[in-house]
Parts: sequence; C-alpha cells; structure tokens
Amino acid sequence: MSRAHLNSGRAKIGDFREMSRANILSILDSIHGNKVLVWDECLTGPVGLVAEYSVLKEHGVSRMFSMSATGLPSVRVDSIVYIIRPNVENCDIIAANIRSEERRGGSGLKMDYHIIFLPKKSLFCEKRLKESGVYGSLTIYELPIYLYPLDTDLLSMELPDSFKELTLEGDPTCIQYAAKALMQLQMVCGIIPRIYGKGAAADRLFRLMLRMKQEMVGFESNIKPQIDSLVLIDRSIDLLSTLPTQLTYEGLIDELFGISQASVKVPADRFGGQQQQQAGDVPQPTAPSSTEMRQVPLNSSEELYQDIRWLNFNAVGPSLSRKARSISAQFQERHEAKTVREMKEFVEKLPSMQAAKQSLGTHTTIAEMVKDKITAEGLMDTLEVEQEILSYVNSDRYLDSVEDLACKDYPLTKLLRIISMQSLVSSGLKPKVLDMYKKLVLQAYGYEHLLTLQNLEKAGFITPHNGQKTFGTLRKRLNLISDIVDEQNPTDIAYVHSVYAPLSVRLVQQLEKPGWRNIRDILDILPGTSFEDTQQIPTHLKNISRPDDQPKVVLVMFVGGCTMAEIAALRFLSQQEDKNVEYLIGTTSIITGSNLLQSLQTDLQPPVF
Amino acid sequence: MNDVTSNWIQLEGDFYDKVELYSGVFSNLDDSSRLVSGGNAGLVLVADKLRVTVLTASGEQLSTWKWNNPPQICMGWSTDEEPVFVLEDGTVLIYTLFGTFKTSFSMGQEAKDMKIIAARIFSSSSGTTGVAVLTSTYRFYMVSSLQDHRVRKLYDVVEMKHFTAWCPLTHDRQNRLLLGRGSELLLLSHNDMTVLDIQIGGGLGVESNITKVCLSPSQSNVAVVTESGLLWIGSFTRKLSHYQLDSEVMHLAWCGEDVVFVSLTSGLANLVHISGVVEVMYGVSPIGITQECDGIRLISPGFHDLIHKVSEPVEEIYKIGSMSPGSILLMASQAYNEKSHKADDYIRMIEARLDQAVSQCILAAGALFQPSHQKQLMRAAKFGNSFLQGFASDAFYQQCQTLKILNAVRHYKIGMPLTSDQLAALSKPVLIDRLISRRLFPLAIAICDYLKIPPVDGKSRVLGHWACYKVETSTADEDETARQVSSRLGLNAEISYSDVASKAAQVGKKRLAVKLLEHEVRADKQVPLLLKLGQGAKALGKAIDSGDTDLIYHVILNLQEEHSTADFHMIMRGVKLGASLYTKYCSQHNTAGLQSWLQQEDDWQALAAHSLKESYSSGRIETRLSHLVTTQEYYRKSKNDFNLSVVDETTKLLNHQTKLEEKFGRVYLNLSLHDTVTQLLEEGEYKLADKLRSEFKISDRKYLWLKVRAFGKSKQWSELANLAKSKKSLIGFGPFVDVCIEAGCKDEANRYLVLLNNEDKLRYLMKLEIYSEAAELAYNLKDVEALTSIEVRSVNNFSMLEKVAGLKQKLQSSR
Repeated sequence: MSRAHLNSGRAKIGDFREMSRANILSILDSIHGNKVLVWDECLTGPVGLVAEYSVLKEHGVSRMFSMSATGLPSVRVDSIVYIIRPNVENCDIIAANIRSEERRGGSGLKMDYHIIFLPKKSLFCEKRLKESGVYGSLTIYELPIYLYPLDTDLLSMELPDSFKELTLEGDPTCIQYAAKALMQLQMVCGIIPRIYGKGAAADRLFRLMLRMKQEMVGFESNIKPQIDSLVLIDRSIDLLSTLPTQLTYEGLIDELFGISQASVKVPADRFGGQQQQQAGDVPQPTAPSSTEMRQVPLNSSEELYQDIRWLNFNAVGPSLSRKARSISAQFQERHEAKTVREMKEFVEKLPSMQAAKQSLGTHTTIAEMVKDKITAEGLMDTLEVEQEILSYVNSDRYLDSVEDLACKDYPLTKLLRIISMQSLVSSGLKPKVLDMYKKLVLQAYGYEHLLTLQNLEKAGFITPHNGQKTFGTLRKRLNLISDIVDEQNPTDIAYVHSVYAPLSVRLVQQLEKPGWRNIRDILDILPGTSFEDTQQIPTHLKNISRPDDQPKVVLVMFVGGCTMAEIAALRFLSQQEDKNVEYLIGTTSIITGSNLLQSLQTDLQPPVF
Repeated sequence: MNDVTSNWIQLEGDFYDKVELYSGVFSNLDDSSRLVSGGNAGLVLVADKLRVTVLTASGEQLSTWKWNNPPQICMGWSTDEEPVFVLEDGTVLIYTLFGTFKTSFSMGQEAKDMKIIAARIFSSSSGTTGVAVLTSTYRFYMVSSLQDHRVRKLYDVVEMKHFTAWCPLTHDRQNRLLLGRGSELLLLSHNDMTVLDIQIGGGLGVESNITKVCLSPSQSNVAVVTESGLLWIGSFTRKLSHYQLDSEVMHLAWCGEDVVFVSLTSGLANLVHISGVVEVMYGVSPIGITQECDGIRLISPGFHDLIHKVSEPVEEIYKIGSMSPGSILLMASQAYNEKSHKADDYIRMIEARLDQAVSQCILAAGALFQPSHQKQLMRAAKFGNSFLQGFASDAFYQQCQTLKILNAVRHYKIGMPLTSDQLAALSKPVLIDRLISRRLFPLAIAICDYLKIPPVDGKSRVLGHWACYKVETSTADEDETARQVSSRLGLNAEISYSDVASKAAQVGKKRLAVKLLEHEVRADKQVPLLLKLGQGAKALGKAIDSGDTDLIYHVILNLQEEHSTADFHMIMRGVKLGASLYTKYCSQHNTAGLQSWLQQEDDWQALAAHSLKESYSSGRIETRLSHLVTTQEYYRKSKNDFNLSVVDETTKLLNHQTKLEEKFGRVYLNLSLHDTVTQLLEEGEYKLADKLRSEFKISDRKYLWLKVRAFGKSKQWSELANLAKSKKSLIGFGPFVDVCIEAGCKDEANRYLVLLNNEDKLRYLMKLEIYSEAAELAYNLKDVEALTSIEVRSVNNFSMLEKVAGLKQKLQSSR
C-alpha cells in the first residue's frame, strides 16, 4: 500500500512512520544471516503498518510465524527473532520454546535467538528469562515504536486494553507509553507550544511528559513546530460517547465488522466478479468461497472513501448513487470524444476512472453488507431504545424495552451498553432500578457475570445514583442532544449518532470558542482536573508568523481510546470552512462501545466435560 | 628557512625528516628493562622483573607499581590505552594506566599446560584489541577482543618448524597471522593456511630461515629478515627489492609505505627504500621503536625522535630552489612583514595560482612541529587569502583549530607528540578519551569547549569522569565529597549521576552513592542502583514517580525477595500504585500470594471475587459449592447484600441443576436461570418450571416471555395458543408471531395477527410476505412508505404492482 499520502498533512506523519521503519530495519540488519520472525500476535497488524512483509523480506526475513506455546515449527535458519510486547506470558513461552528446541537438538545447526521488545525493554521480563535459564542464549533489543500511523490525521498506539488497565487494574503503563509517544512525536514534528488537558489520566500524562523533557535536556527537537496545540482527553471523563451506536459509515463498519489497522475483513463472496485487489501487500485470495474473507483497506488515499467515511450512513446511499452517475457520465464522454486529442485526454483519465469505478463497486458492496447486517442484528430496535434513553424522557425508570431485549437472547455486551447508557445519562441509577437490571442480566445470562457487573460499576459505567444531574447540565450547556439533525447535510457533529453530539469532541470544540476558561464551571463538574500550559520554544525555531490562511493544527490525544464516530466528528470540524482548525487525532486505540465493554468483562467459565 | 630542512634525508625522489620530539628524556633506563610505546603517540610502558612503570612520551612518569606476577612474555597497549601483559601460562592481564588491576583471562588450556613461547597484542580488524599466542607445541590461539575473550584456535600447521617470525594481519575484515616458515611466508586463519607464492631470496639462490617479518602500516607490503642477514622487501605477490645487512638486526619497522627502517647491533641503522636505495644513519641506537601510521618513533636514552616522510606541501615550499606557489607566497608574506615592495612582485608572480599557494601553506603548517614555522605559514596563508575573498577560510580555521590542539598536547607536560595524520587516525573524541584516562580533566574540558563539542559528548562527559575519579580517590568525608561533586556538576541532565554513584558504590562509599543518586534525573538508571544499595523504599518511591511500571515491578519483586512477607506487606501498603500493580501481578502469576496479601489488607470484596473465580475454575460440583460458601462469607463481611443474594441464588440454582441432571440425565449445569426454565418448559416439565419461577421470583412478564419463546422453539403450538387466550398479553402479541416465524411456521403466525394493533400488524404482514393484505392495511393507515417498500419487494408480481400503484394513486389524490 502506498504510504505517500501520510505526509500530505501539515504534520509530517510520514516522517514519523519513516523513523519507526528505520528503527526496525536497522535491528534486523544487525542480526546476521536469514531469520524467522516469531510474532506476538497482537503486534503483526500494527507493525505491518510501519514495515510491510515485503520490506522485511528484503532484510533477510525468510518466514514469519505467530508465537505459540506448542513450540517452534521446524525450520533451518540462522536466527530466530521474537517480536513481543514485554509481558511475562510471552517470556514464558519463549523460554519453553528454546528449551524444547534444545532438547530436540534442532536441525543440528546452531540457531541464534533474539528478542525484540516493543516498545521497550523490561527488567521484569529479563529477570523472568534469567530465572528460566534461557537469558544467556538470547540477544535483547528494544524497538521503541509507540504510535502507529493509521492515516494522515490519525495515530494509534494500538493498546486495546489500556482503558481496562487504567480503570480496573490501576495499571498506568499506557500513560507512560503515551508520554513517550508524544515526546517521540515532538522529536519529529516539533515541540507543541500549547497543552490542554482534562481528567486524571491526562494530568498524569502531562506530568510524565514534563519529567521526560527534563531527562532529555540536550536532546531537544530541532524541528519547527508543526502542531500548535495538544489536547489530552482522559476517556473516563466521557464514557457516554463510547456507547450509542455509531452511525457514520466508518463507525458502522467498525461496529459491525471490526476495523483493525485501517482495514476491514469482510466475507469475500459478496464481491462477486471483482477480482482485482488494491492492496499490494494483502495476499491474493484464490477463488472466493463462502468462508473466505477479503481484506479491504480503508484510508484517505482512496478518494471515494475519504468522501463518504464520515457521512451518516443514511447519506451514504445517495452519495454513492451520485458518484455512480458521475462515473458513468465520465465513461460516456468517450462517445463525445471526436478529435484525436480528445481521445488522448480520455485515455489518460481511464486508469483513475477505472480505479474510481472499482472503489465504487467495493463500497457499494460494503454498504449493502452493512445494511443487511443492520436488519439481521435488529439494530433498529436498539436504536429506538438508545434514542429513548438519550432523549432523557424516562430518565431513571426500569425499562421494559431493556427487559424485552434480555428475554430475546440479545447479545450481552450490547445489552450492557444500553444499561450503561441509561446509567450515565441519569448520573447513576436508583438502587432499586440498578438491582433490578443486575438481576435481569444475571438471571438471563448467568450468574457468572457478577464480576463483570462489578467491573462496570468500578469503571463508572453502571453505578448507583450520585444525587447529581451532571448529564442534564452538560446536555443543556453543551447542546449535546439535537432533535433535528440533517443527516444528508449536517451542520453539527450530532449527526454522528443522529441525535447525540459526543461530549469529548464538544469539549475540544469549546477550546476554540469560547475557550476553556469560559466554561470552567462545565469542566469542573466532570471528574479530574483540567489544565492549560505552555512549552517554551527556542527562539530560532519559533514560527515568526503563521500565515492567516493556514489553519491551526490541534492534536487531540485520547487516553483510553476513542471511537470512529468521535474521529468523524473531529474530521467534520476540520472541514468546516470558518473553523480554521485542523485536527490530528491520537489515541491509545480505536474502540467501539462493545469492545470497550468486552475488555472490562471477567469471564468465568466453568470447565466443560 | 634552513632549519626546516636541516635534518632532511633524500631517498629516491622523497625526503624524510628526523624530528626531535623531546630531548633529555629516558636517560635513566637500564639495559635490563623492556620498553613498549603505544601507537598514535601513546604512552610508554617500561618493565623489568620487579617493576612496571608508565611514562608519557616525554618521559614524565604517570605511575609505577611492583610486579608480583611471573615474567611477561609480551606486553603492550590496548586500543583504550590500558597496559596489557601476557604471561607464560597464557594468562592475559589488563591494568589501568595507574596500575590498578582490572581484569584477566586465559588463552586456553593448551596455552596453560604447554606454556607459550611468543605472543602479540594487536589492533584487530574491528578496531578492538586482540591477542595472539604461540604455544610451545607450535599452535596458535587468538582472541579478537579483550571484552569478549572467546579463544579461537588457528589452523594447525602440521609440519612443525620454528615460527619465530610472525605478525598479525588484520585487513580484509578478518584476523589472520603472517608467518615465516623456513624461507616461505604463510597466511594462517582459523580454518585455512595459504603459502604465499613468492620467493624469499637474495638472488643468489641461497635460502635461509626467516627471522623477522614486519607489515607496512597499510598491511600491503612486507619486510622480511632472514638468518643470513638478508632484508627482503615485497608485496604479497612479488619482490620489490632486497638488501644484504652486515650485522644482526635489532629492530625492524616500516617508516611509511615506502621505506623500511632497520637498526643493527653494530650501532648503525639503515633506511631502505622499496626501490633499493639505502641511506645509512649513524649514532642511532634506539631501545624502543614504534611504527606509526605515517612514520616511526625512536626512543633512545636521552631522546625521543620521529622519522617521517616530508609531506608534499612542505617539500614543495621548502625544497631548495623551489618556485612553487606556496614557496613564493611565503616569501611574499615575509617581504610584506618587512614592508618590502617585493611582496607585490611575488604576489603578481603567482596571481593565477594564489588559491593553490594558500592551500599549500595551510597544509604545510599542519605537518610541521615548530610553532614558529606553523605561524609563518599560517600568516602567509592569511595574507594570500586576503586576495581571494576568503576562499580558504574554512580550511584555515580548521587548521588553526587542529594546530592549537596539537601544540597543546605536544607540550612536554602532556607528552603526546601527535602528527596531524595521527590525530586524524585517532580522532578527536578518542584524543579526549585519552586525556580523560590520563586524568588531564582541565585540558580535556578546554579542548571540548574550544571545539564546541555539545556538552553531552564534551564538557559534561569529562565532568562525569572527573566526578568518578573524585569519588574514587577523595579521602574527605562522604557528605563533603557529595557536596563538592554536586556543586561542580550542578543539576545537569547530561551528566549521569548514576555512573558516578555506581563508582562510589564500587569503592564501598554507599552513603555517598545514595546522596549522588538524589541528583539523577533518569529513574531507569537510578532505581536499580538504589536497590543494589539496599535502599528499597527509596527505590520504590522513585520508581513510582517515574510512572514506569516495569521499573515498579522490578522494585516490588526485589523487595519481596529481600523482606519477610509481613515487612513486604507493610511497605506495599503505603504505596497505592505499588499495591495495585502487585495485586495485578499476583492475580496472574501468584494466587497464593494474592490471597495472603488481600487477607492482610482485609479486602473482603476482592477476596470474594477471588474465591468466586476459584469456584468457576473447578469441575467438581462439591468444590464449586464449597468455594461459593467461602464467597458468601466474604460478601457477608464486606456487607455487600446484593452480591450475597446473587451467590445464594447461584448455589440454589446449582443444587437444582444437579438434581435435574440426576433425574432426567440431561445437561442442566451451567445454564442460566432463564435457560434452565426455558429448557424445562420446552421439555414439558411445567410444574418444575413453575417451581423454579416462584423460588427465584421471576416476574409474570418475564415468565411469559420465557414461555412464549420456549413453546415457540419446541413448537408446542397449543400451549402457545393457550397463552394467547387471555386476550391480554403483558408483552403484546408481537413476540408470538416472532417465535412462529423463527420456528418456520408462518401458518401458526397468522393466528396471532388479529390480536395485533394495526401498525404492528402491518409490520408483521410485511415480514410474513402477505403483501396483498399488507397493501390494503397500509392504504388504510395512509402509509406511503410501506406501500413503496411493498412495491420494491414484489418486483416480479405484476398484479401486485398494479394494485399497489392504484392504492398509491388513490392516496395521493385523496390528499
């Protein structure tokens, strides 16, 4: 996949990617001979964004496997290279692998073992490896990649468990990583002069950044600032925005099929005759069968996708048919082309027209699949309940509609999403209602979900009433609910959920107008501190004067994840002509309400006989 | 001008110069001592049986210590300028400059058992220091680095002869040996031996054994001396020249690439050019000789001299009768200084070649030792440059910088007589390293500042070394030392306080180390050292401040190992983040530890969760129940009534399910309450279902749901119809239709349509694909949208399309 587009924005995300890529390749080059890479499964996708398999091959990688406790496949190579996140489980597997390999005697050839810790070495892991007696036969490296570029304006740390670790386990590892990520980004894109933040995790992150800055005295960035401000948002100040079903095209794809590393896997059979593949790195599927999945890249380098990804799904159909008409009109031009010159012009346009046609075909198919899945999963019922809750009519009542869903074997996570929504909108549920909901869940889905409910309470999703009317105030002051939303031509970010404007994005929006200082009272009713600060820029790097026509660049960093709908809302704001702000988005991971809640579940499963 | 050329020796077309580096030095060396001087104007190591002394090239003593070991077979300098000794049993000893023993290793069992008869210390192909030894059994062993002392055996030369003449050969990225066997030259590597295809002989055809071999600085030429006194010079493929010596050879070395220097027992010395031209030197009887990259240094009692080839610009300028532009520019500059009009004439003479003249003068200045000569040339260059709009400003500036450094280190107090080429080979950072290891901190800092080296690599680094030295040697009390060090270093992120502190710890000054660590900004360096120093609590605090969870884990596990459980828990209790990370760790890897920790903390809620998990991890029903009892106890203690009631219910349900399984022989365990009831209903066990329903207080509404779904799934249509008889359903009749559709019995579904209100009825008619009725209903409800969607769905049914179109039109016209 071409990554040239990554540098098309004001902040040079491509340069950032280049740095990570150089990093990994230089490690590979320092390891002699041909090598087999053994992956921590959760890293294959993310690292693939930085260095594709074809590139790794050029640097002596002969094969790649996923790590497995059952042992290494038998291969004859000079070096085995593990690429892992620094955790104990991985180290134990490696130790077991090496021991069994030594017992087996291998292929007679002596292999070298290497571990690349990503993003950072760990004393804890090294200790573990020492204890298992394999440390001596290993060479240890560190690959400091903290952020993965998903698009020109989107960077993800690909740490899907960060919210759980922060809220349930009190483990702030992701904050440290985020601080490193932002320091690294500043090395490439220059120091960010203004910093804002809201929430405990944001505050902690900012403090760590200050600390790291101190450690880095003498190694400062020498780049002129490309980013004007940084906004740190702690996910826990706005849990609600993760919950309503996302209704943008991209959001729905993520909700229904799951987007990972800017591409989606969908059943291949629906694509019919379309055999051509856009992405060079995705293996070519042979004759599609019913189980075969097709990987479709989703990013801004595809013009059509760039145009429709942020739209409300109801506006996608009309938009696609407009596009179809304009493409067929373009193809019609060939009949009008009379002169040789006109013919030539037409022929020159052909490849781009064909690409557009193919892209149109792909997205028409995906849109149909989305539509079918909406029907199949009874999403309309869900939306009805969601809107009932969001419109704040029956704030704190036990809802029969929720009971109906539970009795119909509705997926548990989705049900919990709805109950959480009601709890958050009502600033907590009355004890009696809360107990009824909990009983409902436990009796319908099994008592083993008791700990999950406890987790949701701890994380703030389903809580007893706290006596305040927080959401009521926010809703009024920040205009979070719009009854009239034009889905075709939206004028406000509320279109992303058809009625609800994500609080997080609203707060970012308020930063420009009227400024956080003027909504102090609002910020204060949200949990955690809010802060503003400036970072000194050396005089020689100061932008003497930013041309007025150039928009300000603001990086919004979510600690604990953000949704595609929030991203769409920020992109929508970037596109507003009067706004004069271009948003860059950073996040610990991209989430949907469902996978966020899933990460908070404690699965208790009795053994099966 | 004469004094520049006064010592010049002409050989073939080239000139060689003998420069007196220092005089009045090394006069008190006695004959029994051996002497080795390091490359690139390095230090001089002098040893006899009793003592080892380190001197600078200007003869100033740096250190001396008593030699308590067996005699050395070989001694020399590592590339880091540390004294290295090889003993007879193959032990390699490494010292610091100041005589502190650093480390040692052995050259292997054979060397140890059989003893070695010769050894060489050399700079390996990768720039590290290598050692090669020859055992009395005529086998060679080699290590290529003092850090990584893996001993490798070289190719075993089966046919044994005397290999007294050998030297390491390190180009082509591998370490090999060049050795003389008889009159042949061999190349020996780890796995291979090559006999060079060249004839060592003097043309007379007399073959005699090789006694000495020596490689030129670039390792492309070889000089060989044989028993019969023949000096043979050649490359690896052919002979270049030879010369018959008249007495025994003491020293053999290459002076540059074109000339071989030999000193003889007769007190004479010869410079032999590769062309065969020979120059005899009298009164040269060195006791030590060092082959440099661009010449040789000779140490003799009272003198330290350098012989090197006169560089081209110097030759061009100073050669007698030279009319080179540089030479004339020099004259012009001198005339100008004397205010003579000739200056102008001279400049006019070389007007067109002025740039060349300036370059020549700048280059020549760098090749001369006398500051007065350097000045003359640089002045001339500056004078010439003023006519050239500063064309050579950069080169001029660079040369000034280099000269200033060269002159500073050549001073006899410092004693590093480097040439420009040697400085380039050594590199400025390494020069600074050498100054540091000689403890010449002020000069090192001055040079760093002068070269504007960034503080991290320059001043701060030197200060760091100074601090280590200070910490190591200071005899003041530890608090005072800490104060002195930190007042000089300041709060400086570029200085690694932890390096200094670890030095302090190494020499047993713990308190000082802890104090110094206070200033360290990098937690990843600070914390492990604090742990080593037994400052667990402090380490934990610092780790937590850093936000680095890995570091926190590291400290926690260390503390756990070093303290009793009770003490450990006490420490952890005070630290919230530490406690939660410990809990996380235990819940994944140490459940026993978790329990004891939670009990200690009276965390009933967590304990309950823990035993609940245990209950679900067991397959035996008794175990599960007993864990549930424990869980209940914990919930009682934590006063969590709701969860307590849930666990009560869990237990009850489990008991029921067990009984049901016994009774029916079907699986009930692990089903939820709803599923259990549903299954009973499906199987027609209504009474049992009713019993559970009342015991678990399932509401009427929910029970109705369960019944509808169960009857639908098991197709108990009459039961379902009975439910609908009440005419009023708490959940409406939609679900009735739904279950029929799900079971694939659309006919059954029809029965309930009448019970629905019109909107729902329309929806279900559509779902059941009863379009004709649906269309009429839609018409009655004035629902155009529904009509349209009927239209879409019945594309192939023309009568239907007609009908819908008619209804649509009617609707529109009635509007």
